[in-house]
Amino acid sequence: MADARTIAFYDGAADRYDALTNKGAPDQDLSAFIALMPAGARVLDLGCGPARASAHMRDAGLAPDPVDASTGMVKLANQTHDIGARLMHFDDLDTVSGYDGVWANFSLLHAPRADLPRHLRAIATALKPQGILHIGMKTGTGVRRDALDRHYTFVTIRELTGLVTDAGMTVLATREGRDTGCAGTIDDFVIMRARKDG
Amino acid sequence: MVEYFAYTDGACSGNPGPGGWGALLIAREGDRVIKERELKGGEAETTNNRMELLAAISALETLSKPTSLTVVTDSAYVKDGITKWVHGWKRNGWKKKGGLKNVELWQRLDAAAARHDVTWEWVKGHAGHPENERADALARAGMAPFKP
Repeated sequence: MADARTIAFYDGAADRYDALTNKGAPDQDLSAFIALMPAGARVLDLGCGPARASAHMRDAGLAPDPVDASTGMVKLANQTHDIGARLMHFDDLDTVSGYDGVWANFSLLHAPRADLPRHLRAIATALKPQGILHIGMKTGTGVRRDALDRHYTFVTIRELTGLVTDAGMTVLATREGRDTGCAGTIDDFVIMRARKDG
Repeated sequence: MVEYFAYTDGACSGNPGPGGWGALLIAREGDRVIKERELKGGEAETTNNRMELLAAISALETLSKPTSLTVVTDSAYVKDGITKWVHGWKRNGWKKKGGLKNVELWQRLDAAAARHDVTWEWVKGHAGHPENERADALARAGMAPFKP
């Protein structure tokens, strides 16, 4: 479960966060993810924030299910996009083979490291066989709280590969880079795409 | 005057097989490097040409503002494709006799390049070009997680 202080930040800053992260068009990772989904695919947008990714997915003919642990974000998402966003914590995910894809874009990094194996297993269970996971995480070691009071769990690529593999998925692709986040720090990141085995 | 360059390379172990791509973005003022950025990634099952394409795509897609830059690749496939062949493919509705391979990547590259003012340059690979060597190293690092 993401920690309470992180959720409090998102509750109080939903509008500001949305303005900071709004890129208008889908970025390269979202476009690539959408291209992999079958028509009408059901996609869990896990930690959807303002649900802009879900809105792009819906525009592309997919059926997104946006969820977030922040009531502020869920409210903003529904006000802006009327998209059926709902309040859900990582631990609440109990779907079995219900999704063609899971979009977890820089959301699970707010979970404690010890919880990551459990959350990734729940994601694998929620995916249909051959379903696709997109996960974005900041890379490095340790945990930190940023200037906005958000908790971050950093992972190495080897560690994330192990977690994803142990959960029953095969890593298909990675993209590594460096970017400036909302708190102004420059961090390394990885985008990983994996497919559920079976 | 600041000039922008993207050095891109792909690598593949087997063809198809695990592969990687790398891009080194450099801003220069005269001979002075004022900013650098490294990008890399990989895939479990791919081809060398797809990785060469993805290297150039990633370099261009990562630039948020329209930029005038030179993309330096050691792939004649990428350079000739985007500067010559693509025009015919587009006229024919992204088709060619015998089938157009990697069409989705060519479309991405075409769209990414259209946002910028790109000069395409080819250099011979593994010929001691320092930035090409660095892009090659990034591509190999991007491939590393997928090599048994």
